[in-house]
Amino acid sequence: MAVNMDEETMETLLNKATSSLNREEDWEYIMGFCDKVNNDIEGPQNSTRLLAHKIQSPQEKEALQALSVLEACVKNCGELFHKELGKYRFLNELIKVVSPKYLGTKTSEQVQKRVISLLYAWSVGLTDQIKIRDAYQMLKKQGIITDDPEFDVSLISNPPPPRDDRDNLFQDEDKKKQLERLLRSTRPEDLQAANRLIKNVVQEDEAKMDKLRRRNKTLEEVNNNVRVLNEMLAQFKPETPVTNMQTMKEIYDGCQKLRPTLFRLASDTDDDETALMDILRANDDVSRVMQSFEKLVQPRLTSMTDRKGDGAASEPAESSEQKPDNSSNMLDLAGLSLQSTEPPSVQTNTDTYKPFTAFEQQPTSNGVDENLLLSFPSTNTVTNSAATNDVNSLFSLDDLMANIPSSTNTTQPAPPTLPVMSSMPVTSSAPIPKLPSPPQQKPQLFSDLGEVSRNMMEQSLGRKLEESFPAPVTKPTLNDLSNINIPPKSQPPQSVELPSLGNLGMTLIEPTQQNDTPPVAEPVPSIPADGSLADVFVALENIRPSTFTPVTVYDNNSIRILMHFAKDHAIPSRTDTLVAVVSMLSTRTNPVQNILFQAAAPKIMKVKLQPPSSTELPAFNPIFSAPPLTQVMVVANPSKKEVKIRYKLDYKIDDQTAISDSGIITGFPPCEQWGKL
Amino acid sequence: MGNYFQKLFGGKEMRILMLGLDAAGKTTILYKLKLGQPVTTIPTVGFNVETVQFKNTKFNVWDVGGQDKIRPLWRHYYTGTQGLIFVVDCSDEDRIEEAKDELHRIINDREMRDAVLLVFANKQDLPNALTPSQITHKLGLHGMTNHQWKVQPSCATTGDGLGEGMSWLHSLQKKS
Repeated sequence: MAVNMDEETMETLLNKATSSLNREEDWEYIMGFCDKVNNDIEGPQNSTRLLAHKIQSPQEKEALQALSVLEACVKNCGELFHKELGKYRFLNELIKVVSPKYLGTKTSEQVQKRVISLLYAWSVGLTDQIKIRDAYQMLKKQGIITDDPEFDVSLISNPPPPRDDRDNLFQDEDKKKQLERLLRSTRPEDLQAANRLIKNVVQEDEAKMDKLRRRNKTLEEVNNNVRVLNEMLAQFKPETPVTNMQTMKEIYDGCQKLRPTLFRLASDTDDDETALMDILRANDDVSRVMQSFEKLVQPRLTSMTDRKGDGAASEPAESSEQKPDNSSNMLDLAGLSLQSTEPPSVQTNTDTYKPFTAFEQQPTSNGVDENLLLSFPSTNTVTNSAATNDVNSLFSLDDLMANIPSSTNTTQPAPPTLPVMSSMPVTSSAPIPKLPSPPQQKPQLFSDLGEVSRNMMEQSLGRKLEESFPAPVTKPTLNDLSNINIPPKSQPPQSVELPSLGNLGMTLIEPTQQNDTPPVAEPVPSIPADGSLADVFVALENIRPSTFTPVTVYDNNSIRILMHFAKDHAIPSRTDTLVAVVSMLSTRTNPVQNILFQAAAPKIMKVKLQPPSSTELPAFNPIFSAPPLTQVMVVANPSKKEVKIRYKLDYKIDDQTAISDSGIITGFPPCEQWGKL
Repeated sequence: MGNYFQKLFGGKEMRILMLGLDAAGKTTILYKLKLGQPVTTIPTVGFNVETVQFKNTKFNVWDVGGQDKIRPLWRHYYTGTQGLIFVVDCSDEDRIEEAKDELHRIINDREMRDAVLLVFANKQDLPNALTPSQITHKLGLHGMTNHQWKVQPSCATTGDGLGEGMSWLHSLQKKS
């Protein structure tokens, strides 16, 4: 196919292709030479003779260019040329170039190196030409070649075209077949249909790619935010200027905005597991960095900006450390306390149980948290006004603790240990009022709490309480509580759910704020990093069912397991928890026994099954049906991943037949709705 | 009946498949051949098929979109193809390697074993266009012994070289 090269001979072409005047390899002439090799009679034989001569040229450049021509011939001139290449007549000429007996001493190192690498590549790649391999081995034996050069497959031939396995456009077999049929047809309308089909499929694919791009963009944005915020947090010091903190806040806000997008992405991504992993990882990262920000910077930033904006009077209240989730509640509380017009009972739900958290934590301590003062009114007159200004840090809390023993009534049990103290900030979430010492008899520890609280409340309200306290119900539980061991420091504060008493606690605290007492700062509520549920217990009768669609977990052998979700968290402070009631019904004509329902969650979550109401179900009676077996399940999901719970179900349908089944429960409500289902 | 007339008048049909990377100029070539004038084209998703009369031969030319995504569909058009026109954008040196891989992939397919290969080294009017011999080298055509092939420089917008290419195909058609 040489153009304008008909008048050239093989020799003139090679001269031009190897001319030392060439600045770079001249492919025009190189390919022209290849053409001649292919087209001339005896082209291969003549070409190797000419090439050998040029390769042995004392001029390095000429020799190197000749080797390029040789390489091009090997690639482009086919088998005939390979045969000529593999004859000793030509190979000997090459050996001379590198052998010190001949030209080896005179030839430049670069040429020798190139010759060796070509010989090696051919010896490996051109397996038909065994003499090339022999020649190479001989050179090796003589010690002229010490190490095999790197094998460069491109020296032998054009690399074989990669296999065509990317037909992912038409994954749908039906569509593929349809397309094939339409394309075989000669009818114009079939061809038009084929065209339409292709266009549709391509469009779908583009939409998919678009989704992918958006996903990657979001992930990138999240990762960037996380990285920047992480870096800034790493460099964060107490003296970091406010502007930096505000920048961090902006990034933090950005992260917060991105999270719903991540959730959406995760729920959209049902076909690509790695992508889902990426999304979940990004979500993990973002929650982690947000948490550190909330812990490290947020309180400081809030206090600083507030100090700027408001007078010092309101400072203690507003310097409260708040977790964003709870902040609105806390604000409401503060507002209520200032206005003091609304009845305390307005406050519901989330904060109500907090005082009891403290009780449980510190059953034997007496005067650490002023929440506890409520329960031991006569024993403690400590006013922690000095410490109330700033309890954001554990440090100052420790100070607070340190103050206590000196002013504590020594008739009380031993003061609590410090580790327990440090868990205190996490336990109390309601503003802690400064209290006057109520004129109470010194109570037995926890014994008459209801009475005490009621008195206190009446006192601080200055009126009789309208509602009566349902104290008796709770008494035994509280007594039990006093026997509970104090959990270790790392343990999250968890409380037994005692709504009625919880309300009581709330109502107690609420009015006391009217005493112009600056509320003590609010420590971060407590979601343990590992989501431990060790101390969570939810009584079945306290569960308020939600409207979220129940999940059918199991439906086999006339046994049906349903899961209904509760409205509230297991404990208000545990915003990572979800409560579900597992109920099991049998329509079998014989009783089912030895029922054991177990559940397991991925490491990042925790699942806890409380004891079942029974381990057997009677035979189904259509007239008088037995109540279902119920079991309360609590799920903790601090990292807010999609919840997947594995279950195992064992039961016996008769003496001989034990059945064991397992599966995965999905269809949990999205984490962000937990607690408000 | 049609065959009879065709034989009578020496008219023949030839199924031609025109492939190449996207934006090589396939559609422009097709309509330049068909209409004799340059047309403005958009990237082809799917294909165009036209009958082009050249001398006494009726070429059924299938011009198939060359975007990366739809290249896997090319093989659906292989069956019965007598001639492959592979169009190369000579000003796109960066993708010549890609073009080479695609070409070898097509031509090594069993269904294409009898097809002759015409390469249009297109866009010769552009500066820095690779020459036909550079194209020959870079497409690795010299080693190709199992197909008759020709590299034809062309410029689809002016029509330069298209006639020569078709006439080469026509000449092969006559022989067979």
